[in-house]
Amino acid sequence: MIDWFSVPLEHAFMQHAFIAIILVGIMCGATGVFVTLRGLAFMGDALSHAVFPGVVIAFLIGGNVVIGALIAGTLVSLSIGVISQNQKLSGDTAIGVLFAGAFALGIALISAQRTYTRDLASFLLGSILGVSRSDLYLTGAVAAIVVGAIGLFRRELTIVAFDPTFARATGINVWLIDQLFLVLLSLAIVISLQTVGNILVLAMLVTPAATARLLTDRLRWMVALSSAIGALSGVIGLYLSFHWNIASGASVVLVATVAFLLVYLFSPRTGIVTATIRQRRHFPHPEDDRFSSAETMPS
Amino acid sequence: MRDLIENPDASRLACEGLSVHFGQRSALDNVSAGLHSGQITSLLGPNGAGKSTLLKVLAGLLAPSHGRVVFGEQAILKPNPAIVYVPQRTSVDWTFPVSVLDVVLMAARRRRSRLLPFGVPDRRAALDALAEVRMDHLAGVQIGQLSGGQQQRVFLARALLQDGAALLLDEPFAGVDTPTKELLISIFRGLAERGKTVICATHDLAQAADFSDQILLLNRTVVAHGAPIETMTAANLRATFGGQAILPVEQLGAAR
Repeated sequence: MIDWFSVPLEHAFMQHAFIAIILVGIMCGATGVFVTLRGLAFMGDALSHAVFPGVVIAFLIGGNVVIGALIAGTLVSLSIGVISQNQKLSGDTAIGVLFAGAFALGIALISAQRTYTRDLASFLLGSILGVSRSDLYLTGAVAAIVVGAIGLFRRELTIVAFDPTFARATGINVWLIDQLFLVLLSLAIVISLQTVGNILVLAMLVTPAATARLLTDRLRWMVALSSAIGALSGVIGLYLSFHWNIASGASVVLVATVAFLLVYLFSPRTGIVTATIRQRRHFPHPEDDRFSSAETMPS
Repeated sequence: MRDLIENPDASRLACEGLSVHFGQRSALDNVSAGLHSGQITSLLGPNGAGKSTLLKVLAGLLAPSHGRVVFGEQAILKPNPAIVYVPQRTSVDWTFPVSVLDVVLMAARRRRSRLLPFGVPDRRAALDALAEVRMDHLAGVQIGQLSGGQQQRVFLARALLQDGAALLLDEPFAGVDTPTKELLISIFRGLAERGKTVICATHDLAQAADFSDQILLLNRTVVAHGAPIETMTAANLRATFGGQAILPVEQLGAAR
């Protein structure tokens, strides 16, 4: 039994993979809370595709792939911000136009290469077992920046998401906060591409946050739970991937999805099954004693 | 406070020749009015008369096509902390994972460094504001679980914590029961007595006539502005509301 846990850790590439997936789980978990609360899942999907041309161009000219992706992601998210200010086009429309266009540009560029199929596969599915020590440093630094910025701007991000009119009336530059968040989201996505791949990064953003939302009505707990669920799904997923020999990105996302389904069905407060059982037994609705913090306040 | 004593109109909110156009459509046309501190002014007019537009311009949220807004001595070009705006409740995401107390604390953002969490004094102040609207017992509840009237009271508590010199309220009585209406009005009265400028857009003519110091009848431009008894004449109400006078015009006439 102990072997089951310890054997994978004997390999350096697995140690790197574990650290990388924990960092990605925490970063995407925290970012994903605001993605789901703002209804930006489509935006996240779009950005993960839109960084593609940046990756390809950097790869072709021999530059740093991550920096290429970051430049492309930032350019596309800023363009979406500018285009969606046009009164006649919705944000979703601007996203659709730009992300498909950018993805097509990436495919056009890479399809001219001889190693086309292999490169495309590693981009789409990630290559977590090839994470180097310097990749880890970069992942750690970006995760610190993203989580730190979300912490510093937590109030503005919350107010803008909850009540944009109040945000403007109290002097928050809503457009600037939106752009800041999109840049943070691009950073999180780009850094996660190597770990979980282009297609599955959306699941790291949305699934842990959705699970956390079912478990709590408090934003700070939602961020903490979402990060924890993201990191834990990553660790469990990697173990399963190692022992059962399945693709790591898929394994991680499947664990996160199973966690979501379990919470959806059995969560103490909102679970479908739990609620049915409670009704059958004629349990009174549990009164949450949430007023204690107000009453025990020292004066 | 000193300012208010030496210059009783330091928080007078005035607009001069305001016009607002949305494309070809004119929403406000040459609106001029001085809204005095220490008074409740009710903004009355039919749907589409520009009540919400006027409030947004006064709050600095919408730039007028012509004219200007002056607050005391100062021209208002952007949102000002001293002018507190309470929008209609529809602009909010009710499923959001925040408690009633969290919503009120949003008003304390400017007072706290972003590096620090809210402290006991912030929470005290927020709970006091909630107590004023009799919502302190529900401080821990998720905001979407409240009734319409309770939500309106929470948003008023947040506005109270902002502690501005002027309070602009857009339809504060929409979907609110009578006891809550009376509570809101008594709070507005208290604010006016403390020298604040209270401006309130509403549909309820009879009630507005009852609790307001000033009435501003608006239909894209100012039809009449002054004490209720002088402004709410049958002729003025007909000029404001036109053919859709489903209103107790006769009763109001009798009340004179």
